[in-house]
Amino acid sequence: MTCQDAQALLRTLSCGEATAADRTALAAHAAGCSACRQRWHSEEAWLALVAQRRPAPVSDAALAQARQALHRALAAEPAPSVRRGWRWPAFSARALRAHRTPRWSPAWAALLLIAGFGGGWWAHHAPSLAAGSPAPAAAQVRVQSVEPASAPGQVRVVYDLVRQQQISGPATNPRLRHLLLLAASQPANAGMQLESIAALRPAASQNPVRQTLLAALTGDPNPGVRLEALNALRPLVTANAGVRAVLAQVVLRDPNPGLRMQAVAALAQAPRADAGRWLRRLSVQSSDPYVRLNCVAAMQQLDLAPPAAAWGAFTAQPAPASGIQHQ
Amino acid sequence: MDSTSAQDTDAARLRADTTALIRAAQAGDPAAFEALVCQFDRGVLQLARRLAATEQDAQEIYQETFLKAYRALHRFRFECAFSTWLYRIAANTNLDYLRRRAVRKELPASACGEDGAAPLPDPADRAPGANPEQLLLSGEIAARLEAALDGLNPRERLVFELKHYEGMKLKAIGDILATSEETAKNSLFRATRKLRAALADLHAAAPALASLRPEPGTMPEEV
Repeated sequence: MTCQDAQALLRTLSCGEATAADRTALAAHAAGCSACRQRWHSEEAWLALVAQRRPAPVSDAALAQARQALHRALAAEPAPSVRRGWRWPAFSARALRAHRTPRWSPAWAALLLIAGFGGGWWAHHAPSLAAGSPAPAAAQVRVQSVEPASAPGQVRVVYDLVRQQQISGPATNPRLRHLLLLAASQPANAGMQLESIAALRPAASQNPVRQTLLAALTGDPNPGVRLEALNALRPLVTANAGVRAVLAQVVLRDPNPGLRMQAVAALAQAPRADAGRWLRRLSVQSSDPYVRLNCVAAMQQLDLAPPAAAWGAFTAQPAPASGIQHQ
Repeated sequence: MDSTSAQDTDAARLRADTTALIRAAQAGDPAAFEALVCQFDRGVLQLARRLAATEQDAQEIYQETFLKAYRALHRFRFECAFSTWLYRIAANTNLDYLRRRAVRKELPASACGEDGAAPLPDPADRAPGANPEQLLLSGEIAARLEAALDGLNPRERLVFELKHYEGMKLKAIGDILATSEETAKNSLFRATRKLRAALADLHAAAPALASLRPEPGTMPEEV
């Protein structure tokens, strides 16, 4: 290998695309060439420097929050254009790339001419579709917009036809699962959310379900829904560190005191060492003295010594019973 | 069945599932679109968080990316992988953001949490065996790198992030940016040259710091 070859490999290394064989070849060359060896070490040092930047991985909580916000934004979006199965071949992007200009054969031109005359005749002679066809039943219609039409005295209404469908089966059915996940994150109907979360509970350990439950726990406006989500996530506390981290956030941030207490109780179910770590932190960091007191009580039940700072905020008061007040 | 063929089978099944979901979403099924989101959104959010100054900005980029994808889904014609198409939208959304940010000259607030308060540190964040001085030094280097990255132009920044932190091949980056592999490589070289110049004083210390890389997924003995 020449020094020029080695330079090319060093550029590949710098791009992060060097293979093991490239490195072996470089090493063999560098063993006998001090200039290339120095350049090689410099490249490796650079890559080590770049690797020092390690942004924290996306947490389940951040992802759940993003999904919840996206779900709300999508609900406010008008229905997207639906893709049709057929399109003008001459207007497809691939055809335009291939030919630059569409080729109009006499047959196409004749077809368009006939279609144009036919359309004109239909517009003139046929009864108006909007005015002539029976109005759909009110329950099936969602009006999207009402605006004046081009002709005087006429109006244009854009509406969606909603077709009700039913599906039943086990909650493990993928289609049902999608619908349940959707229903669980629609704050407009808390009752439906509760039913959906209850149906999803056996699958709480599966990723999309867990994400939806975490989203509901951290972002749903209804405390009952948040509590239902917390209860569904409770069996995961022992095994899932992400769930424990979200519960700690709930303890610190949830506006409902009952839910904060439930989150403390759930965290106490974590493996003893980890529960101790979180409870010790929360017993100091929480701004709610009742939360701090409950953390201390939970630590005592686990035979763990609470930190001295936790006692500073409240003198020897008895630990409260673990009853929860729900809003 | 050996592990390679099992992986191939899993990959084929995933591709088939994704295709079915895309077709259902194109037919107007919102649940199918949300299922697609769940397949790809961690990477989209990860990229946005690396480029955005704040968590809120990252969440906005994430949302804008998927709303654009939702509105344009009917135009997806399976001429490339769905992930490439989606990342192309994400890349453009991130580029728009970086251009706006360059105009506004915002200061990064990477140390702040979602609501501006310091985030609650996770006990799993620390590397086992790393001493505080090493962690501090490593943190300072990361901060210098962050500042130097902010000095790149948006396109160079995006290419550098996709290459070194998303681990993408230059060919894939070229596809995402609707350009050639060679152009992506040139952007990467320009970015590297600028960064190396900005961080010349740190360069010599880098080999010793390579040993600081933590093993993910481990818990410390004590908080």
